[in-house]
Amino acid sequence: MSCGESHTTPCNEVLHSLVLFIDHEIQDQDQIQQIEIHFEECPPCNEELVHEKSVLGKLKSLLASSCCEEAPESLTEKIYVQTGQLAQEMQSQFFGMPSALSTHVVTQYSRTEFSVDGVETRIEIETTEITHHFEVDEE
Amino acid sequence: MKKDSTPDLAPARISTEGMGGVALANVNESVVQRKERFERDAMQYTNQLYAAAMRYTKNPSDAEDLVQDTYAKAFVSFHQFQEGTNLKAWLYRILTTTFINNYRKDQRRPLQSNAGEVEDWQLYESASHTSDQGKSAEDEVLEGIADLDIKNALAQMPEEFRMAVYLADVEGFSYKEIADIVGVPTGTVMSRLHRGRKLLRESLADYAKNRGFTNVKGGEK
Repeated sequence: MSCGESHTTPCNEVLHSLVLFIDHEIQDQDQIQQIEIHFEECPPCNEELVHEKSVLGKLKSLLASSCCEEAPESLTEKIYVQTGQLAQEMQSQFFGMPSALSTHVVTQYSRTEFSVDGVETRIEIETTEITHHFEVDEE
Repeated sequence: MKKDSTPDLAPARISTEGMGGVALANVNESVVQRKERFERDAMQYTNQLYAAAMRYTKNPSDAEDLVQDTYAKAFVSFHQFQEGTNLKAWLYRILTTTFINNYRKDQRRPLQSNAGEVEDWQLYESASHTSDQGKSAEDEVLEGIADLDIKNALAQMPEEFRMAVYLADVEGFSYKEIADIVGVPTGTVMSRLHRGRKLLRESLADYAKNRGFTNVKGGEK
């Protein structure tokens, strides 16, 4: 449906990208400009923009005010303790190899995505190679 | 064989190679330094991650476990995080992946989007102007909705839509960031987000209708 007027960019095209426009997901500056021009010259589309923006804005603030539980203090405490323990474990791994002058860790990961009959599958492979460098003692 | 390297200076020259084999980070950092950097940079997100975990798991005890697991994984692989990039998004990615792999109630349910989702998104916008009546009815609905209603409406949504809406509309992540966090293509994020918002608007209209302050079904075009 169109508003009856003729525009450089037709109403339905603008309305199709309305949400992307509001979400700032359109990268093409020319396209953004075309849409802005359209809103200026087309009151019904502009009204639609104002409405969608306002609904989305209200939805966001409703969500923000109702989904903001604070982490219990005991949880934060547990995480600090856990971090300390993990750090100690890492430390003692280094300690076990006092002669290693440096450790070189290379982590590589590759990601493969493919789609068969519309079903998307993703494979992630992570490999870590740890190399310890030792000093050669020349007595 | 001398070199009494003090433990807190244990050198860890780490280079991380990312996708495409390009070196992303090369950090010289001791364990103590890592711990300091972690506590300084990552601990500020506990509240946000907990609130997100509440949306994912829907109960406080699982949410706590999920956040704790997330921080453990994050600390252990903190060398892989590239300084200067988005730490919040990186933590959310760990949170989301951990949830999907270990906490989902129904592990057998495939996470892949069903075929036809993208087509649905393309058809989603009716590409026509909404009636004034529809507009004011929906405004009215959103004015009067209670916190509990929106929480329930969100909780009742299918998981993938709930995640998309939460990550976009509460956390303000871009489509691309959400795609990285959830591990799906951007097109799928778009589709889930729009369908999720639509579902949320429709169910809020239902709550409003049941509470009797509007008799027009909102969210309709």
